[in-house]
Amino acid sequence: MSGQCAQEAQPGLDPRSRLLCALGLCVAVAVCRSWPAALAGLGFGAACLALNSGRWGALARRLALVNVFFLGLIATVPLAVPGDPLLRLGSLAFTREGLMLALHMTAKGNAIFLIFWGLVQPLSPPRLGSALSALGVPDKLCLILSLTFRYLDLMRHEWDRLVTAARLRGFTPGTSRRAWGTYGLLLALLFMRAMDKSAAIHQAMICRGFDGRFRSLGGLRWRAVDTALGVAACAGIVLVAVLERGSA
Amino acid sequence: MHISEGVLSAPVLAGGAVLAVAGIAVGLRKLEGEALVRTGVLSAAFFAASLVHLPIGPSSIHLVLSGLMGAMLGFAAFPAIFVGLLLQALLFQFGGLTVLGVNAVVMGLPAVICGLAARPLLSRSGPAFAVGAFACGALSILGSLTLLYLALVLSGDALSVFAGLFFWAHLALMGIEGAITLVILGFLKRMRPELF
Repeated sequence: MSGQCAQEAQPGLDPRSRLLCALGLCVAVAVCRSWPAALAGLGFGAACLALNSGRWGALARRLALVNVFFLGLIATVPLAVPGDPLLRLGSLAFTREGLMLALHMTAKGNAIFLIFWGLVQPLSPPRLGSALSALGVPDKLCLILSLTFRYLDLMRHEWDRLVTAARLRGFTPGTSRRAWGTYGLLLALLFMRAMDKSAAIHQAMICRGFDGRFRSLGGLRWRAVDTALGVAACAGIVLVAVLERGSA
Repeated sequence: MHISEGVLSAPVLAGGAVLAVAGIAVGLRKLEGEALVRTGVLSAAFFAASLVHLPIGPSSIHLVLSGLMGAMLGFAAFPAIFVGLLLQALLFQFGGLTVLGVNAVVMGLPAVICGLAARPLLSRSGPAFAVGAFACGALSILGSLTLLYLALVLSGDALSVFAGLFFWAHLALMGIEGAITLVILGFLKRMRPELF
């Protein structure tokens, strides 16, 4: 993957263990229906935060953003679920059962977000690509992921350059047909340049021996700590299953 | 256009994952050499374009451009959209691992269908091209909103009010996406007629 030349294993957890444990825990929490299992998921999420190095401010901002969506659910789900009315809005009843269901979804969503933040968010896209490749994801998909990440910054700079050039020629952003037409043309130029660039990139890759296969320079190494994380995740999944069965 | 984690039922999540795997497999099947590299670089360009906020009154919106992806990439739009969603989850935590399949189907399936269906019209000129380009952008959004509505409603009646509000609140995007797709495809047809 781009930006990663060292073949040596990097310190810390193997991205494969992070990814597999996150997937297992997220699926277990996503399909649970009981409150004890959802609360256990929140506990797992809080525990997983120990595996992400700080960035508490960013976490708080992202968490707030995630919960804006859940505020929408809390406002609407109680209107669609029949039950004991807490509040009446004309002919609509805001029910206790609906509120509890919305809060349950919110708990699950936050739990999954925290698990993701702790286990997967610390992975850079190149590390994620290496892990996916090592886990048997098709080479072509890993290559698209690698190229998308590699050229994302370039495309953003290209867009900034196009907008700056347009502004220097008197373009004023706004909500008018002319402004939106200009945005459309700038986007068309961005895509045209991306296509031209892709042809040059492909030629350059062939010159460097590209044969269509994705070769990761990931330097992955499964250690005892990865096995320990896997065992802990399996225990967590079993706990969710037991709590589900107990609440059924 | 994402669904957050923790909302959808297990059968919907599983169905989305299965359909997404099938869509990716079909999309990757014929992707080789330069087409593969072009998909990756265009995916980066689409990702960059989706981060652009266009002013609309006192607020702003960001574009989806899924119909345009379908028109330019065909079946390859599906893996490109999947990769875009995966990176969005990783970089911005929009969406997540369990809903990745559903979100990829919600955005990718209408994009591929509209892109392929519009190609005969896009190869012509005049009003037929304009209708094809506009419909490609607009109907792709309509398809995504419909699939999103279905995913929410199939997960339980409790989400029906939210699903309805989400659908109607985003319907105006159809016109905006259709118009922008028309401008972009019109420019590309003039500058790169061999594409269509």
